[in-house]
Amino acid sequence: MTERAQLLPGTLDLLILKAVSLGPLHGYGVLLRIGQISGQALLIEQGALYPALFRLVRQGLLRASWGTSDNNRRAKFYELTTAGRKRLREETAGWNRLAAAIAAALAADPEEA
Amino acid sequence: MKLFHRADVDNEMEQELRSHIEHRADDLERSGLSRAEAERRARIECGGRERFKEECREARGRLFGARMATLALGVLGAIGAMLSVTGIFGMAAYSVSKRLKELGIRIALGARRKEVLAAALGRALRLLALGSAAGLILGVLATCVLASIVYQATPRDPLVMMGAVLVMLALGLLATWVPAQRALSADPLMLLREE
Repeated sequence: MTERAQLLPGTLDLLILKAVSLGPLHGYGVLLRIGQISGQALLIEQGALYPALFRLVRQGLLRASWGTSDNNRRAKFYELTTAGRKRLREETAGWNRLAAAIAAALAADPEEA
Repeated sequence: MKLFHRADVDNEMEQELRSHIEHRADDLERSGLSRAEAERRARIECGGRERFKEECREARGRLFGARMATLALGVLGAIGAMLSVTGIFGMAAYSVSKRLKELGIRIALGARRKEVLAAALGRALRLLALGSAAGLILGVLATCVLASIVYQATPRDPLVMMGAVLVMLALGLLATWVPAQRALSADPLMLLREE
């Protein structure tokens, strides 16, 4: 079993945008996709997912439409809007800067300080 | 109106959750559970559904005050419109009935429809125009205040202004329609016989 990582506040939206950017998904599909692309290290709670999706649609970052899933069931599919794509790029860049900065800070040797 | 939107949103959320549970149950079923057991498990996992709905409601709740204000103002506006229609109707009907004889004589003397209407409703229409102008100016002032309350309202929205003017015109026409018909159908012979 892979070790679970704790989700930082604010990162759920970014993960959802990323998951959806790989192709339109329904809510359950977003959960699976995030689990899959994070090597099962990140498991999103369903109770947090839908409010986040709702919020992202309201912000105009995602577009939702009803369709039929692979299982032949009705499902609400989400896809990125242009604004969503832009936000994903910005947030990804921001996250990479933050991660690099924190990694650099944590790797500092006593001599350099 | 966005207010009636709420039931739709709740309904859609319910459907989306049902879809989620079905998909989860499909996966569980594929892992070897019976359909009934898979659905039961999927539902239990979704125990947070009420919480989910609550959180979504909360997100919408931030607009609640503005929505209520809009509704209250809408009701007040509707009452105002009703009052103005009855008022205009009453005044126009009164002025027509008071001058019915005069109008009959004018028709007998060969007045055209336009002239009869001007004589019967001229005053009503003048008052209507005056009131509308005053209302429009006050309305623009009031929107400045409203813009701070109502969601996404701007003080000078041309569409809203046009709408207000058109609605006022429509209400005025509606209210003067019946009296105008009566004025036009004034029959000089009948009126003379009544003497």
